[in-house]
Amino acid sequence: MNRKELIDRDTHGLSAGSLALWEILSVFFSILLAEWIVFSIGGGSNLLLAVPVGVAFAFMLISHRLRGESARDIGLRLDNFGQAARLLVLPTVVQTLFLLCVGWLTSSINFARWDGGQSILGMPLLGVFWGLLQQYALQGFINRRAQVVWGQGWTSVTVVALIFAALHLPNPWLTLATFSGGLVWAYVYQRAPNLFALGLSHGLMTWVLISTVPPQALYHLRVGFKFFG
Amino acid sequence: MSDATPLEPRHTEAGDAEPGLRVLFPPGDSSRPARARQNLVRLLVGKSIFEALLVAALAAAFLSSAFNPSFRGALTLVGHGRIEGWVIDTSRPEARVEVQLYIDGRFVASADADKQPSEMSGAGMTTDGRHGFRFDFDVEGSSEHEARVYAVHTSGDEGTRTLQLVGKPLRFGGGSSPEVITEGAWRGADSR
Repeated sequence: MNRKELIDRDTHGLSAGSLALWEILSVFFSILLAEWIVFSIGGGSNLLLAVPVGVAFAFMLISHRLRGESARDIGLRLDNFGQAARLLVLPTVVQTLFLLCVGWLTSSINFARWDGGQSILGMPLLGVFWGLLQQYALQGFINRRAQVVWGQGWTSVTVVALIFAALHLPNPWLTLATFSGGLVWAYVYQRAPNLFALGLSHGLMTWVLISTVPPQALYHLRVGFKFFG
Repeated sequence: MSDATPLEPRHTEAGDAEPGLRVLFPPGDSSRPARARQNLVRLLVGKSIFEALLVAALAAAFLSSAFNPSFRGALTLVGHGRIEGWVIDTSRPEARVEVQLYIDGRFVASADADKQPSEMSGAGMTTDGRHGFRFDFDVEGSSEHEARVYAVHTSGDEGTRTLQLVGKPLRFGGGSSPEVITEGAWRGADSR
């Protein structure tokens, strides 16, 4: 048996589910690597932090290409924007009302708390861009691979939400919030895969969360090793 | 999710049996999915190797900058509410090393090792000899306690502070007399 045949046999021996699971874990660990290891021993250098994150994004893009996934496949499209937005309205309103109640009870409502930089457009632009980027990784990549492993439904939706929450550990309330948001976004993505609608929802919910929950309770959104100071 | 919107069946990696959003391998060319899969596996292996090397390089850089192998020192007296010793950074003998005292795992005090020590086996490493420290403290009860003295090393732009244990953890109290320690000098390179 020559080398090529051995490689063929080995890679064919790896099931579609195993390969997809490996992809999920690989991206998950790249982000954990940035949050926990590079941040702690890299002295908080943004340049170093960008290495594992950049590698993860490069890997996801190459994986799409190898699998023949188009931008439309992963949800960068507009034709189903309305359908996705409609699915998001109810959970977004419910979560917003809940957070407003929390803010009212704790007297911590301040919609100018998240300044997002110098420009008045900084906050919404940052929020939407950051939301889109996270939703791309979470839904456009992890959700799609999770569906290869567990199929469409609550198992893959829950796995996506758990991964999203785990990436926000050990921040307790942020972990809880991202798990709840992750469930909604993963469910909506499986019904109507539109990353623009999800990115907007993500940015909006982040703004509401920051504006209503006391900053001390959110530990200033710190996650990973940075959480400890 | 039984109420999911029905999606049209597509040629998928997972097969055509179930409709839904699936991750595609390119249809048509039957050899391409296998090749794509091979490349994906190689990519995953390469990514893992790169990340392992990144962690190893970071760890090596961190260890070399965060720990100072040039510290020398010793604890020379412990007991009756007092700990004495000395610490020198042999790479910068003119500098004074900050030391911190912990008793039973709790921070007690911090000081610079800038006093003339009562005993210094590291004589000759420095010109002025003023690298001693002394901590006076109160401990409650007559039970035994554990004292640790750490030399503080600051490194990096962020001012990362690393504590390097001076000598060994020492036990005192429980009615014992002050102990004069005659062990050899501790070397920073021996730090854990």
